[in-house]
Parts: sequence; structure tokens; C-alpha cells
Amino acid sequence: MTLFYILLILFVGGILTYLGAKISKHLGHAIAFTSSTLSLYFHSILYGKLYGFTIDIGLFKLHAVAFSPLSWLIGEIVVVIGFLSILASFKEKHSDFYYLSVQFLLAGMLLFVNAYDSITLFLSLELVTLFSFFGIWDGRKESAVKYLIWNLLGAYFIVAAIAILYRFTGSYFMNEVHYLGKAQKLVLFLLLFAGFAVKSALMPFHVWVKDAYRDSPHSFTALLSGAVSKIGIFGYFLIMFYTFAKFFIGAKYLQLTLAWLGGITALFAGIYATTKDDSKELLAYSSISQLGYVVAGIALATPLSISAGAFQFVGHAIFETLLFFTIASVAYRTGTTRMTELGGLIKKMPVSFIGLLFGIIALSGIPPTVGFPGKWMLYESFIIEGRILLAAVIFTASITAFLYSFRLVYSIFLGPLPSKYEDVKEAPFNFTFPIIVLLIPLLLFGVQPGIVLYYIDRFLSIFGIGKIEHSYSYIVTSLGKFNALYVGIVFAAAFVFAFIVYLLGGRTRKVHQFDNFTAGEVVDESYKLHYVDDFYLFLEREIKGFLKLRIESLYDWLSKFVDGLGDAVRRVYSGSHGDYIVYLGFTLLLLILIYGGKLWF
Amino acid sequence: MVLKIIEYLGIVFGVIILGLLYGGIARKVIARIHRRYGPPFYQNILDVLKLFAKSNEASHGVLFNLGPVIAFTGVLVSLFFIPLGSFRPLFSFEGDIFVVFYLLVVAPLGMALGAGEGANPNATIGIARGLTLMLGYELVFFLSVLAPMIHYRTASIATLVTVQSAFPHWNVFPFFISAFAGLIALHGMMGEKPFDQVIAPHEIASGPMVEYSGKFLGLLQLYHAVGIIVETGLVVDIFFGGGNWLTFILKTFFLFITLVIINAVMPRFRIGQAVKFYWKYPLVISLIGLLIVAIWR
Repeated sequence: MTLFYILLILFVGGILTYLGAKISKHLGHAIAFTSSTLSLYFHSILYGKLYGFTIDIGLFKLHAVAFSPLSWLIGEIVVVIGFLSILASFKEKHSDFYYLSVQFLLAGMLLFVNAYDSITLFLSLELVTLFSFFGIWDGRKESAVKYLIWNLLGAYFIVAAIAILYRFTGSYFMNEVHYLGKAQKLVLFLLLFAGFAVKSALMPFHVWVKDAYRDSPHSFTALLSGAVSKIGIFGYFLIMFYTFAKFFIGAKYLQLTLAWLGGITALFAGIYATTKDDSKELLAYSSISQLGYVVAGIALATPLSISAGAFQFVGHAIFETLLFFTIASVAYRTGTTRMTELGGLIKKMPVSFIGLLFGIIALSGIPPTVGFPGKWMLYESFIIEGRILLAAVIFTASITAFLYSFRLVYSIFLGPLPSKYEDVKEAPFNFTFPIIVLLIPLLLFGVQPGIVLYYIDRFLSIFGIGKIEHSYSYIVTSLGKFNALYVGIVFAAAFVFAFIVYLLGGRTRKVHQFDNFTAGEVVDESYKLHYVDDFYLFLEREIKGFLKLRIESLYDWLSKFVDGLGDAVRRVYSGSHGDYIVYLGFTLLLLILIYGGKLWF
Repeated sequence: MVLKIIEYLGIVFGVIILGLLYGGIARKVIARIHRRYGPPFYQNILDVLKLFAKSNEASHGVLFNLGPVIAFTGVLVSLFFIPLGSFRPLFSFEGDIFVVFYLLVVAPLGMALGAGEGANPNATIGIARGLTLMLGYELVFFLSVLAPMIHYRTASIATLVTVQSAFPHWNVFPFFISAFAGLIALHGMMGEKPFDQVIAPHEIASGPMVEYSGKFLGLLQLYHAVGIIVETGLVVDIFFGGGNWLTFILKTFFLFITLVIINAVMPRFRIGQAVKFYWKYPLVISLIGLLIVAIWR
């Protein structure tokens, strides 16, 4: 029942926060902090246990069981990021309702990853959608509405699939489906997949992400990207290896199609990310891109590729959240997230800089950080399976990660410091604490990937998929071996050596930022020495045609078409009596024609 | 253990000296092609010693200082995962080609970060160009290396060296199409003309290096020296059969000098042209190479 109490804490805590904040802001903060800390504590002690509950709510029963080892893993990600996000949001300006929605959102996500029947699944999914909508609403309303519309679309897919499933099987449980034909299974699978694809922002269902991530409150974006997107990923795992396990493992073409969808998402989103001026928009696309790797990995459905995908989403939860927290702390101090207006903040905000630096190192997958083992396993599994073009697409996507992540770190923290930020200070503890906390798993899982792989192994063995060969520090495939610990040690040793060489040199002197080579020109503030606008213009020029191809234009066309159709239908109601009499006459004539005179007898 | 460490230190020093000599000889070769006399072949060693002896150098901040250190670290780490001649470091079995691919990025990243804090737009333009160029050559290199990898079903460089131990079994003969594409990619990776947009001394004043002087420039020279051995060594291991100490040195040397000779007579692409070039020709060549491997198998 511990899970039930956690949910209760979050629900009651949410309502109490709302009421408490009416009395005093600080009381509300204290309650929100307490309830998120308690949920974090109680969820952490569930480690390695079997847990769950069943409650009767009249019409039906809700079953929540941690039937998959990934349930605890994603649940822990949710409570940790939720706690950090609530902590950071105390420093930002929020309505009282915001804290309620965050806590309800956490409860919804915890319920979702443990949902055992389709009613609980759908209910918790709706909780997640609704309360993340309120969270984004706190930032900008238009983006929240866009988010809601897309996620409702996903919910329709899912509710349709659940209804059909019930009609055919007569069971609300998400157990494996046996008695259906192949075509029926395919349709149901695709409906559920599309529903979860909206949540995890797989292309072509990604268009809400840019606006929602950019405009949501900064600390809430970390939660959206780090935790809420994992709901969709958990959904994939659920339908691929549980509900439709036998069907999916056998359906090679379906696997390939979905894997390619993931690969194309990774590549396209990566390219779009290089062209963005707003740091949160850039990170939104990078988040889509990284989740594309996950989909490509798990859709291929070999033990190695599933491990790769699963490792990648754990990594994504760590580094993407870290990056959004650093952006949050920059935005808190400077009031902007536009990269063109920032610069040189490394001297003012060193902790945030270190957070962002390690974030991008992990994002681009450089060992020994958490970003690498997942990518490594992904390449190996693609090549073992002979999916070479897919490996090439993913590889290209990972090169775009170098491009946009350097742009991110350079535009915000490096380059000259604008004079208006002369007296900016390091962000308060509420922001630096999450950054420091997240750095620990980022490096730890990088040198000891086995800690995460332990869960994935359990998942693979429980669902009978297979196993991969690994220990805490190394992973072995039929192609090669990656020893994360050795890489880490060699890295540290080489750094020490290089640093000693550095110390051999002479002394240095600190110079002003404008004391640099300008070919004889005397520069001052009026010269813009920060190379930030159109960072990759020469690349954009080469791929102009590609950048024009946007799925949004299709959706715009669709919305205009529906708009026009509605307008045309509206014209029928002209308001003149003569028209209505003509309609009536035509209708009668039509009826007579259809029924062939039967109407009179 | 101590002996092992001393051995590794010896290798690092050896590679540094070797790389500096390669660079010096390259300067001489280029000079002779340009009908100049050129500096002595050991000039680079003297340069590094001089640079480290200098003091009171301008520094723009902590990361500016650490940038060259990270760059040097990056190539040193990669060095230990590549078999160097008959010397097989313990680590070449502990990480395969993909590990090396990603370790090779550390060095440019370090230089980019350090140069970024220098707050000179020339440096940043150079880096932006370098990253864009990477989008061109990395994929080609990846695809061309895949050919022998798929054929022998291994991603371990050490194993790839073992299977082509004797002369006629060099991978360059059966996989000559892929090897050709790989060499073009290597040319871009080394930043030789026509792919020297990153440095482009006449346009952006040496790009990322523009603010660096003294020991920082010395460290970057060392990074460059080791980088030559690492990058040519990787190609020699994959396509030209590795070899023992002497043959490894000879192979890397001839490979490097070939690239330098091409470099000496080439103009420079505009960055957009360079990327487009990679997407047009070498990419297609490497895909053809892969296709042949797929059919042949």
C-alpha cells in the first residue's frame, strides 16, 4: 500500500498547498516541499520490492502494480525530478494553483507507470495531460492550449484502442492479447503507439513541444522534458513487450518502420535544433532528437537495442533536466532565454556553467558520461542487426548534437559579457542544488553503467526477451567491448598528465575581455564581438530546401481546410426564409427519390 | 604497475616527438613544393620549447586556460585506445571504434571551449565552421570504416589489425572503395587544404588559435602533434594493416606526407562547398563501398 500512500500524500499535499498558499506564500511552499520530500523518500524505499494496490471506486476497480522493473526506475526519475523542480520553482513567480498541479502531475505519472488495467492507465494519462496543461498555462496560455489539443488527440487514440480492446477481449487488464487477428492487433497497436507518440513527441506528433517547452515556467520545463516525456516511453515498453509482446516481436517490418521513425525524428529534430535562436527551443528540439534514439532502440527489439534505448532514456532524464535547470537559473538572473541576448556568463555563474558543460558533454555522448553507453549499444545493435543506414542516420543525428550543444554553451556562457550583465550573480541555492545533484548520476552512471543496466536486465529477463553481457563497468557485444571504468580512469590520468605539462609553462596574466586580436581596430562596447546571430548560417544556406519542408505547414493547411469547410457549412444558414423553403423542398424531393414513393404508403 | 606507467609515459613522449617531427617535415615538404627553403625538420620541437619558456601570457579566464589542457587530454585518451604498431595498449581491447570516434571529439571540444572564452569572433567562426565540416566528414568516415567492420564482424580495432597481419591481407585491397572515401574523410579530419576552413589564416586569423600564445599555443601544438599520429594511426590500423613499430611509423608517415602534398597545392573550399562536397562525392563512394560489402558477403 506504500504506493497508495505516496499518491495520497501528493494529492492531499497538493490541495493543502493550494489552501495554505491562500494564507501565506511560505506556508504553501513549506507544504509543497514536505509532500514532495515525503513522496521522494517513500518511493525510494520501495527499491527492489514488489508493491501495488487495488481500490474499488464504485464502477470499477483501479489496479496499480509495479509489474515491470522499469516502473520503479521511471517512478524514481519522476519523484526526483519532481522534487528538484518544486524546489527550484519556489524562486520563480507562480500562481497558487501551480504547486497543486505539479503535485497532481507527479501523482498522475506515478500512477501511470504502475497502471495495471486500462482504466487506471487512461485515468492517470488524463491526469498527466490535464495538470501538465495547467503547469504550462502558468507560463503562456496559447502554448498550453496547443499542448492540450495535441495531447487530447493522443488521448482519443488511446481511448479508442482501449474501447476496442475491451470489446474484443472483455477484459480491462493490459495483459497480453491472444485472441485477436493480426490486422486487429496491428490497428490497436498503432492506435496506442500514436497516443504515446504524442506524449514522447515523436515526429510527426512533435509540434507542440517547441511552444510548450519554450513558454512553460523554467523549472516546469525540466519536469516536462525529464519526466513527462518518459510517460510516452513507458507506454512504448508496455505495448511492445507486454500487451502485444508476441505480435510485436514477430513483426519485423513494423519494428523497422518504427525504428526508422525514431531515426528520422532524431536526425530532423537535431538539424532543426541547430537553427534555433531561443535556448529553450533549441533544447526542446534536442529533447525530441534524443528521444528519437530511444524509439529507434526499443523498436528494433533485440536485447541489446532495448538496453540501448532504455539506457538512453535514463540518460536523457538526467542530462536534459540538468540542461533545463541551468537555463532556468540563467533566465532567473537575466530574464531571458534568447541566446542572442546573452553571453560571457561563465565568470558570473560558474556553477550553472559547469552544469551546462557536463550537460552538453553527456548530450553529445562523450565518454565517460551517461550519454555514451546508450549510444554505443545503439550503434552496436544496429550493426549486428545489419541496419547500417539506420546507424548512419543516428550517427549523423549525434553529430548535429555537437553543433547545437556548442552553440548553446558558447552563446550563453562564453564570448564577451554584455555590460548589462556586469552585476549578475550566481543563481540561488534552489537552482544550483538541482544542478549539483544531477551531476552525480551523470558521471556515476557514465563510469558504472551497470547500475542502470541491472534494471534493464531484470526487465529483459522478466519479459523473456534475452540478456546482454555486462558487469558494473563494462558491456560486451558480439562486435566489441566498452569498459567505462577504464575510459574514466584513462581520462583522469591523461588530464593529470596534460595539466602537469600545462604547469610546466610560464606564468600568465589576466586580461580584459576586449584585450584581444582585432587586426589593429580599437574595439569597445559598440562593436558586437559576440558571434551569435545566425550561428550556422553557412549550413542553413546549404540545406535551405530541407528547412522549408516542415510538417507544421501540412497541419496549417489542414487547419485552414477545416476552417474553410466550417465556413462553407455556415453559409448554408443564410437567414433568409426563402432559402430555407428551398432546402425543405429539396429535402422532400430527395426523400421521395430515395424511397421511390414508398413514403406515401 | 610502475613499469607499465613508465612504459606508457615513454610511449606518450615518443608519440609527441614523432608527431612534432612529422609536422616539421611537413613544413619542409610544403616549403620545397612552394620553392622555398623552409625551416629545419626539427623546428616544431624548438617551437614548443620556446613557447613553454615564455611567460606573462594573456589569459581570458579559467576555461581559456583549461581549453588546451582538455584538447591535449582528448588526444592522449584516444591514443590509448588505438593499437600503435606492435605495441598493443591494454585498452585497445577495452574500447572499440565507436569509443575512439567519440573520444576523438573531446579534443576539438576542449579547444572550442577555451577559444570560446577568448571572446574573439574569429575563433568562434572557426569553431562553427569546424563543427559544420564535421557534419560532412564524420559520416563518410563512419560509413567507410563500417565496410571492414561488417565484413569481419568486429568493431574492435585490435582484432581488425590482427586479421590483416600479412601484407596482401591489408583491408585497403578488398575495400579499396571504402578506403578511398575514408582517406578523403581523413583529409578533412586533419584539416588539410582544401578543408582548412577552421584555421583559414587569411580569413579568420587562425580561427580557434587566434587568442592563444605562449604555453597555451605550445599545448595546442602538442595536441596537434599527437592528433596527427592518432588520426593517421587509426586509418593505418583499419585499412593498412597496422604493423610493427617501424612499419607503423613508416605507414603513418607516408600517409601523412601524401595528405600534406595534396594540401600544398590545393586552394580552400568555402565552408558550404566543403560540406556539400562531402555529401556529394565521398558519401556516395562510401555507400557504394558498403553496398559491395553487403553483396559480397
